[in-house]
Amino acid sequence: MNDVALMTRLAAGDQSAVGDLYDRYSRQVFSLARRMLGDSPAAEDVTQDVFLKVWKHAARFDPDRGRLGTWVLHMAYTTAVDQLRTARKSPPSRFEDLPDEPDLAADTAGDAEISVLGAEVRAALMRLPAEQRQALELAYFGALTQQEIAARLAIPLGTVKSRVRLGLEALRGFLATPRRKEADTYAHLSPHR
Amino acid sequence: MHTCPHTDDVITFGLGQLPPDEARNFQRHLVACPACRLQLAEVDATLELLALATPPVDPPPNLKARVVGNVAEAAAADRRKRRTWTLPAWGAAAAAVAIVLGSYAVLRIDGLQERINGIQQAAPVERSIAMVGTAAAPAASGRVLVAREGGGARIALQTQGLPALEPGQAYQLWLIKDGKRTSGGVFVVDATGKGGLATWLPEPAEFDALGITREPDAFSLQPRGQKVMGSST
Repeated sequence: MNDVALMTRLAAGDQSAVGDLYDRYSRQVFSLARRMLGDSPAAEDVTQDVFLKVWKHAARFDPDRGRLGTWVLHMAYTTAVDQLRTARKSPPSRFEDLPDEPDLAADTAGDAEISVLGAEVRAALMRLPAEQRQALELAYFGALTQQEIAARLAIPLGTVKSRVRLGLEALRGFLATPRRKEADTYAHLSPHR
Repeated sequence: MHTCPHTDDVITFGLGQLPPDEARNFQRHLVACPACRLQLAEVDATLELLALATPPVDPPPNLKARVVGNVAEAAAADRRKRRTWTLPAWGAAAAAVAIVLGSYAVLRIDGLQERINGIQQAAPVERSIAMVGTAAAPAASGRVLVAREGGGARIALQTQGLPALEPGQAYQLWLIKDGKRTSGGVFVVDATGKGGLATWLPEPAEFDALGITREPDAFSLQPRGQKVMGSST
């Protein structure tokens, strides 16, 4: 069953589709949440939230605008960010050191396309200069503001901004991101912004 | 070369890290700045890929049962809520849409899909009418759903490809019966040309045809502006 058929079932209120959706995307959702939140129980909460949101908003999914996996993961990201920002006791220490080599082990289950793409993105990240990768990871996975990153690393804000920007630009170049139609930008404005 | 003074905000906004006030200002700026829209699209696309960069690990085996259980609970709660859903709330929502009509299309249209879904779920859709653009809006297309409820009619409209409106202008849906036109509601479109409305009319919806016009304001009792869409039948 393809993504569109799956989402049609969900939008029509077919609860059995939730299990199929879970089988397809739970590993990526859970992994992203765990990486961002640093512990498994919090990541489990986020995962539960995400699938509940997908169920509630299934009718909003527009296949013309992108892959279902991307949509689900974006929801996972924003949910984890909200969680991080509310519960930020002390920002996670694992981001303080320069990031380790990511585990490039092949992923055997889950959405095959996402797995392939994920490995490409990890490889592209590894090609960035370490300080750009660090700034980008702190900003994205750590959901730290650029001011917070500057304070954390004791470097000027301007340096952080340029590292994040250069990192993003280089990543885009490595991955040759196809340009989305400009008009689509609005459709993606998400409530947390 | 990107020379917009807001260029610094694009990445911060893309990361969801602009404070709410600044984010609202920036959203307004985006409407007017193609360079920032393009840059944001690129930042968003790259960030979306970053979400895939985490090596996958297996969630605990009992998590699936919890996820499926949550959804079953939410579905049951939805059914209870739908039974007690009242019409005045609809009237108020429609009035609110009409009153604030003007400059924040993006924010207002948010939530429309949910209301349209509400219409589809609350009552069986009686008629589903395709809408096509006239020569004044050849790229426009859309659909109107009509459901009978509470002695009146719920109407949901979704359109795409309509031209952007000037501040203060509105699109208006007309129900045409024996040559007489009555308003089916006013709406605006977002920067992508998508728009629509979800409303309840106190009378049963009787019409031979539907039309959409571009009106100089949101208060027309009869069409004054140009017809931009019509029902295809």
